[in-house]
Amino acid sequence: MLPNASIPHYWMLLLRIMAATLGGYIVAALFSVAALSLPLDIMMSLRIGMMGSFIIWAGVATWSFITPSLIRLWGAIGLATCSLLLVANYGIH
Amino acid sequence: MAQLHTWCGLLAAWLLFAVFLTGTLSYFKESISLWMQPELPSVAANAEWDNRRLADYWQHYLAEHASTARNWQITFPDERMSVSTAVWFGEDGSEQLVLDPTTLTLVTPRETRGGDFFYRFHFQLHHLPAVYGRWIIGIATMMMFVAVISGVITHKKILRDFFAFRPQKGARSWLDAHNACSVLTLPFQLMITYTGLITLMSLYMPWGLERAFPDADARRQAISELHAFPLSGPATGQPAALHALSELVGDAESHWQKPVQSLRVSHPGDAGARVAVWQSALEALSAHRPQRIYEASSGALLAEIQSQRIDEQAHGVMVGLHAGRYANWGMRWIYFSLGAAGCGMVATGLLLWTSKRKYKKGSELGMWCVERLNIATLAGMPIAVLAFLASNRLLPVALSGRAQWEIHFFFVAWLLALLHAVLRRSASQAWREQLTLTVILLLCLPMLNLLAPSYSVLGDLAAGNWQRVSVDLMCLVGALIIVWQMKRAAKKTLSRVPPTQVAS
Repeated sequence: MLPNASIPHYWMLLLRIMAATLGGYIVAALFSVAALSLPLDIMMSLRIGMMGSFIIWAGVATWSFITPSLIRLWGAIGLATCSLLLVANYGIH
Repeated sequence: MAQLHTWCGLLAAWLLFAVFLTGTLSYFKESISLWMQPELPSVAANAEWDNRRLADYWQHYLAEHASTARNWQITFPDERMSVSTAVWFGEDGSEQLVLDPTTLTLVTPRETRGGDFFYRFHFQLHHLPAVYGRWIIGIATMMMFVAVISGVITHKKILRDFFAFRPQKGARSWLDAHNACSVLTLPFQLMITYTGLITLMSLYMPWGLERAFPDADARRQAISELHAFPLSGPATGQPAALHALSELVGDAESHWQKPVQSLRVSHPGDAGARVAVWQSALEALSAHRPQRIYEASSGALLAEIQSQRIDEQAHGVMVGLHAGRYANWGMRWIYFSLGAAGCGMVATGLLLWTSKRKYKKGSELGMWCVERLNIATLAGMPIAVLAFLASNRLLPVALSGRAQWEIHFFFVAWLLALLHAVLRRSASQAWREQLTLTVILLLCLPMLNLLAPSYSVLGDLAAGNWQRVSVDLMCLVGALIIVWQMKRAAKKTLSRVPPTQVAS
């Protein structure tokens, strides 16, 4: 699961746990805000954002322990955070 | 992935077992409340009452005794709860009265939190500010969600494994039992976990709401719309007479062709007063039940609230599926069994963790902690629940602060179970003793019920009122299951003792 699983890479494990918890929550929370830009009724976008966010969070958390590369993992979380921030701030609605 | 499943599951499992157990009991919270309040009439199969007459009774009573209250909340009886209740928030806090709908007389049952204690505990714990409790359980629920997803991914040979049950094989058997509990009921476990998060989503994910409605008043309005729960509106300070509630109840019932479940009068006696009437939850999948809102002084219909858009319905149905208030008795038992399978899933998962590591080298302290916590939770939690129920029969009926004492029994029993699990030298001894105690309590509870002044078991049986009797019966069934499992476990350890050891 981890590169060089024979050596206890505690800090690498810690980075994965951080990605699954903090990273997952940030991406999920930003998703729920970015969803407000959907061209729909405000309550509908709100519900889509809120109800979808838990699936996003679970997805990020699971993927944090699947992907072999930590760089790719944090890169993807960073990229998702930036693009969701963009949509949340400059979205159409 | 397997490690994610193992550690995510392990760390949340003890709390999840408590949540699953109390949550499963909550599907019968009305029946447990009836059992804990023998003074209340049973729900007779052919009982008849008129909700309009009840509304009339309450209107007269509350106008006389609670005219200064901010809110009156009235619930009507249904096939699960035999009485009508009124709750109001006066100057000195919340007050509640109970009415027998067939005789129109007030009854004063013993003071208890009843099944509602389990219901509250399963999403906000106790002895903690509700928000903290809800967050703690939310985090555990999220871990469960991740554990279920990673469990499915771990399980590539899901079908083949499902049909392979290898009993009497130690860790293998626990693995198979764990798989049987979880795989068979997987759709339910996924549903109950996800919808559990949805019920409290405006607490866990408030960011969209804060962004869309920066103004606090607009946000309150939006939250009320999100959860289909109407706000009371402001009081005007001008006095005004209250329209006949019975007419409003009659209007709503004839409009829906369904009974009403509850009504709320906000600012009674004020010109700004509103009456909100809710439809019965029975056989309506969505938890966001239709409501009609009337102006209290004139009786004019102000709003009819009914989920229509797809998102409203999806949201309401998810919450409805979780709470199962729509369910009739058959469906309720299915919910109960699936919830019990959820308890089994968590319990076998924990036992699997220890039995896999028992004969391997590893952290002794970790193993010791997990094993003792397993005992204190898997056996201790049922003991606490049973102590809570037993205290209901043992404490004097007139004791002041009685409801709180019952809760003390719950927590003290749990604490003692934890102490016993920690102090006992041998874990298997601790297991045996606590499970034996559970069985004794399960057997004593129906006995106690016969001895202590309580409801008439035979009378209820003869009248075909199964609600309370089922609580006693489930105790006996539970005792049988534990005895059967303990016998099996004893046989297994006996046959596994190496022959040399027996010789010496």
